[in-house]
Amino acid sequence: MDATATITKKGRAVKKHIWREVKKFKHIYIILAPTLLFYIVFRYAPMFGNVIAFQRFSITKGILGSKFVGLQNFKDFLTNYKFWELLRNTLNINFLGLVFAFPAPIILALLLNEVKRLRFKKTVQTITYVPHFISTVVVSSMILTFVASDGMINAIRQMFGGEKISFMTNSQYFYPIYIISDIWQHIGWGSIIYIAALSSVDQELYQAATIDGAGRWKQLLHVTLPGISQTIIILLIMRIGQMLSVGFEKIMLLYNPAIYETADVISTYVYRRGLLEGDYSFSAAVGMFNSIINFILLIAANFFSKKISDSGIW
Amino acid sequence: MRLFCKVFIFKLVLVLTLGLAGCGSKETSNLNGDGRIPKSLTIFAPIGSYAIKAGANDNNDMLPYQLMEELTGCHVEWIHPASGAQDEKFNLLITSGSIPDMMVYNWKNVPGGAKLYVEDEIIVPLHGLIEKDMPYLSTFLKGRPEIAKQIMDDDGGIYHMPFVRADAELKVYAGPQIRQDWLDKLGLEVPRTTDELYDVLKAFKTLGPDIKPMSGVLFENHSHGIGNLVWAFGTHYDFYVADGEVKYGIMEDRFEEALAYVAKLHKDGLIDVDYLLNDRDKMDGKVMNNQVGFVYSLQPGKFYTSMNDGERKVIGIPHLTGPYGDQNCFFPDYANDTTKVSIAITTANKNPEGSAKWLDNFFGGKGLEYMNFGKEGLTFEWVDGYPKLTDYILNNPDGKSIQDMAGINLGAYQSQFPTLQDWRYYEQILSDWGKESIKIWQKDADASGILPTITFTEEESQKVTQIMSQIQTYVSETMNKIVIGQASISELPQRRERIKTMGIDEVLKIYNEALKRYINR
Repeated sequence: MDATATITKKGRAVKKHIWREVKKFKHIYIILAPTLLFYIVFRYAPMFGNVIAFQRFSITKGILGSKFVGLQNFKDFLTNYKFWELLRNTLNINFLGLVFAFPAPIILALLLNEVKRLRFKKTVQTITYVPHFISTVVVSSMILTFVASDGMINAIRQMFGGEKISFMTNSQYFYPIYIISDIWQHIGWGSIIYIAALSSVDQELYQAATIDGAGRWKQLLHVTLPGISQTIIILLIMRIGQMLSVGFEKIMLLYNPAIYETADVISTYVYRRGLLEGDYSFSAAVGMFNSIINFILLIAANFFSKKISDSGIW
Repeated sequence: MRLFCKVFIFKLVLVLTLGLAGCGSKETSNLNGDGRIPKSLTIFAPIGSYAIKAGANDNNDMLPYQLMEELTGCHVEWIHPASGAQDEKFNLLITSGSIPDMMVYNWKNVPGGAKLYVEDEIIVPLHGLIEKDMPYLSTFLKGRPEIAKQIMDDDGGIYHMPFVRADAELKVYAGPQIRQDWLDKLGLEVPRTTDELYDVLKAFKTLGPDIKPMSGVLFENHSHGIGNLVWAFGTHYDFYVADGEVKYGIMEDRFEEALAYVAKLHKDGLIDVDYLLNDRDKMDGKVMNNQVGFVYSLQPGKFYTSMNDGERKVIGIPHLTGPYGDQNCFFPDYANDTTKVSIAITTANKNPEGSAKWLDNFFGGKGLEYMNFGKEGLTFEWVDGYPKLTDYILNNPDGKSIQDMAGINLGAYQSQFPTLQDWRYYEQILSDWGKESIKIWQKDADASGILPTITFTEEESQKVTQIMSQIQTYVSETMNKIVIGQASISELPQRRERIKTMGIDEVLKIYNEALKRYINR
């Protein structure tokens, strides 16, 4: 009896304490509110919509009236003849992205960091991050024009006596085209965060390293990289948490049935099935499947990162 | 009872006086007279792109709808979806429960069929209303039973009313087209068979290094796809009807030969190697750039505008004949008198009878005239019983294009609202090349194999979607890969086996049953 009373008392005290805290910093909390609201309205509330993944959703009957079918939609996806192909392509694109596209902005940032002429550095930075602001639709049609049989790349090949290649109808060329254009698009933008991290590395460390006789290369290895390793690890973990998602816009604009074999990914398939054919339940089920796997990957990546380097995102 | 009578008589008197007053002020307001057409309606409907280009934000900015408001005294509040967002907007309106009085939508292809929407109490059946309140439409449907059959459901009910191409010529607006001037230059005849086409394309190839004798888009595109070549072999890349039975092209023997023909054209460099990357605009660009000699496309109005210099000419040729003498055309609209633009009256509508009466004006009388020709004296004149469009449309004094003027003044032009389309206005807007082409295509194309617009039950449509979403992707992959040589034609038998295991037989069974029901309508 006594014990419960003290607990409730304590609880009340804590509650009071929180309210006092809120009152005290109310301006800060007001600033926080829109962000919180955003997450509640656009990120948490829609989660209840996942119910339709277990239904045969019909727009006339709504969420409350539609029939429940259990795991039928998940089963449909997992037994689909395309399932393994889609999964493989999605993982391939993400894995290649991790190997080639992920380090690219880091390398660019490190290179820029060594440049001492401010004007040149600024120019390079501007030029590299401009592509990020070009709409995916435009970028995709540029790519298609460049790689067309009478496009720029084939013209260059022919200049050196090469044969014309039909790049976009040959499944083996899809990944290089996708990854290289991805690097071109995002290298500058991606490097901004690393450049910011680099500027916060203590200058005294460099002086100390110089005194110890470290050249530029050694400085890079022992001062610069450790200085930004936190940032790299956080971004890496976030990236791994998206292993099963690929932005579908660009692929959709680039692919065609002849290269489905390598280019068709989960998100494009969901788009075709869910939005073009109106199978909302199926798409919701696949989306949920994706999110769960991504969530598991994220946690695993964080766990291993903590084990190995003692740093993670929480 | 007495009170009821009094109210009734009062209403009658009111209606009559109002009606008479209406007659006095306007010449055509007898419709207003019975007081049953509502004063206002909210309608969900798309808006034509040319109307928007010509400055309309709303159907009320378009001439025919302004005239219609004058005629019926009914003000319409239009809900227009953004271009390309029609499905989203439709779903949103339905799920949010704020359903307008009427909805123009692709009711033919809603999942589960329009009947499901009647059962779920979203829309009301139309057949009773047509019989009772829509004299123009019911007369039309009685006179054209073949069209009535396309509109009704398997159970004989009518749940939505589509846009109707009321004249046969209107159905024929796509087909094979060739550079006539190239033929002349090379001294060649118009190719009539697949073999002749091969020779002609081969000859085109000699005209220059950049020439793509034939261009097109994705194999299985009805309007522009290179796969349309298989029609001459009496087969199709999709579902079609032969000997009273539904067939799926790739499973049929003839298809192998047809596909081999297309693959050979590709291998010999006669088909644009980038056809898979083309969309209509890219393909058209190549034609207008003098790189292409032969395409399947919509009537050549666009080419006429940019290529009509007295030297060049793109013109329709008859549908090709294959080795077995078939001259099939499977372009769906050759056999469909109705389009997917269709209107339904919703359960949110408080006055379905009055709304039906209002709608009837789009199917006869003055209203139909407004929709097809606009306003007499402004956009057209009657000359010897023929509605001749004026220069206001055809040769606008302010220099506006025919498309823009037609888009904003002629309601039927972009077929965004159900009515009966009239060939007479259309032929005046058509380019010379287009008019000539339509006559050629229409002449001896065999459209008997085109699958009519059959309806599935909810269960059937679920089954079909589930199976076909897999098969369609696989078949598309197969056909396009074989054409470009990424897969060999010898793989076809084993790929057919694969399609069988995916469940094509079950789908065919459903299609055949639906076809039987269609025939028995």
